[in-house]
Amino acid sequence: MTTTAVATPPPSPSAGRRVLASTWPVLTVLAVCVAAFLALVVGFTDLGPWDSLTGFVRGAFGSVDAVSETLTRAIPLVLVGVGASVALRGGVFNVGGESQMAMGAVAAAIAIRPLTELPVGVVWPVAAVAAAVGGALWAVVPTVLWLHRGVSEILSTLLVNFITAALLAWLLANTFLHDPDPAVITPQGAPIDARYHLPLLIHGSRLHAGVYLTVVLVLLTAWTLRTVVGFRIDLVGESPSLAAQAGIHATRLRAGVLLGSAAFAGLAGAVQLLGLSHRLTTGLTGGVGYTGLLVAVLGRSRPIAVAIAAVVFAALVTGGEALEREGVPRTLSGVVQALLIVGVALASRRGARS
Amino acid sequence: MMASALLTLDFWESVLAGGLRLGVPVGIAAAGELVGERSGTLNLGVEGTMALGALAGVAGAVTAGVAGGLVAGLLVGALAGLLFAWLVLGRRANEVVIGFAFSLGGVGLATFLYRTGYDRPPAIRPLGAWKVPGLSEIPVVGPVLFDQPVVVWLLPLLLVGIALMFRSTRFGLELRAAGDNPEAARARGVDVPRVRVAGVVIAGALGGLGGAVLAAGIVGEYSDQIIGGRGFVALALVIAARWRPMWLLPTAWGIGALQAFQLNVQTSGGLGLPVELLRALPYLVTLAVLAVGLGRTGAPRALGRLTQEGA
Repeated sequence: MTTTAVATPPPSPSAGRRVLASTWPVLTVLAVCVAAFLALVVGFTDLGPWDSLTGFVRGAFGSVDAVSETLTRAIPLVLVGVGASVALRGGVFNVGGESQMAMGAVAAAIAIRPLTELPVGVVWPVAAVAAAVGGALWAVVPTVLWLHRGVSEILSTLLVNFITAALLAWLLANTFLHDPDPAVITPQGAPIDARYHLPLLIHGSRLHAGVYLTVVLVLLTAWTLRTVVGFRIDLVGESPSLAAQAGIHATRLRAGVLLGSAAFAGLAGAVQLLGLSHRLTTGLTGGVGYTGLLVAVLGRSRPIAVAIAAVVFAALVTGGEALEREGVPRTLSGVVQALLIVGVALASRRGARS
Repeated sequence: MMASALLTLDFWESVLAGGLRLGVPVGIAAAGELVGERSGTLNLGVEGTMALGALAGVAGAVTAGVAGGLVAGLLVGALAGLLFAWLVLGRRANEVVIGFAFSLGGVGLATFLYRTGYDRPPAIRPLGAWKVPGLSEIPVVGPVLFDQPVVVWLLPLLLVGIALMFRSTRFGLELRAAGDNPEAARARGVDVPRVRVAGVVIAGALGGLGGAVLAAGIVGEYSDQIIGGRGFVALALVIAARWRPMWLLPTAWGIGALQAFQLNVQTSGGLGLPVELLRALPYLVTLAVLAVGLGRTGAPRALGRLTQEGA
């Protein structure tokens, strides 16, 4: 009798109801965010509700330029976010994206400095590898502290960010990395040879070829997470004891995903360097290291969802900037972003995760 | 700057006096965070709470004087703490994620409200320095210790209060037990969730107060960059102080002095020493404290467990 009970699955809810059940929290979060957005804009500025919404959407998606700008801003968020997702799945919070990104960019700049007469087919891979290694190296200290001292990676990677911000400023002001132009006194690097820039995709916009690399990496990561490697990472993240029983070395795997996510962040740094800033600057990372982690949470650590979340976050920034021309402070974007995060954190809270 | 300038009394006087002032807001916020962490909850949203507290402090000070501003900061911070507690302890959302959301959203909201609420910086009558008769005449010690805004003395008072609370009140013991060994505490009849909510609300209130003390008590205005990473410095201070309240006094004032030293060196045209090293020093020291393992013994044992459960 018991076997029949096992063999007969419980009646499953209809497909339609299942879709509804999974989209309902998303819709609630979106509704709350739109309501908060409208309440803040209408309550505190002179803009009407319709004008603010259309102005926002037009600013983020209303033209080829707007879409290009949104995608340009999404690129580094996706790269950091996808790396952070892999770490999150393994139960590791890499908060150090900001510093790993900066050091990835520095490593890339140093690696391609002596390469003057080489084709981009050589220079770009060199830059990418150097950046990934540089980013990962920057997570070695937190990893070692965690392995040998039990120091939380959340605290150590956060501290390293502040140390690195100062180090970057020093490197760009006082070392060979400083712009050789004697007129330059601010801390910044030499301009990257224009032949090595990632090509622009649309004339008049900033969207660059880094978007291709980003798409490929998202798909590759999504695929990897479906293999046995992904299964191991998930198992370690969800139940370390179960993973140990299955013979998985949890500590080693967690160290691996921390270093791996740092490599992704480093790569994001190189893409920003060659695609956007075209020289090392102290503002190269601009908070992407932190928002990338939040985007990973928003996409619930699923690479394709993370990419979509990154576009949403980027749209909030470009749309917010468009509204600023109408007198709405752009920090509104930060508030809506925070609300989105809170909403998703509530939806994927402990014990409620599928 | 000539190295000889470092030998003048005036230089050190202004470094120490400035350091005492700069260390207080971040020290107060760190004191709150320490209470929260000792109860077992990590709140990475200090930066946002401080920003909201700073705005509330200025708004309160405009209408009800500096004291009113400080109360407003305290209340807004407590509200933020309550919201954090509801999300993380009540609804079991991930503490690290919510903490970052608070940092992002708090700073964004404070700046948004300030820019839309005020066309020009509101005028606050800042607190005058409290010149202690007689004592303020002593060279060096006088100007450093006895010619300061009254709010500077909030920090030592607060820390002594927290230390006493931990040592000899029932609530303090329950709080530590909740952070060190929640299972044993529960077995002994401690209402762990309630104690933790109290810890998080205290953390929020003091974070808000720290922001208000900075904006309304010391600087006298709000600006976009007023907190400028102080919330994260507060987090570092808690580690550097090894989660002990009285250790926050030297660490907070030490970091204040370091910042004042950096500012004074910069205004007098630089020094052989790179300024960036001074900027990184507090974090390097904190990381070193963690690395040599001192931090581990001091950390509440249940700290971060909420995150691990949720990851």
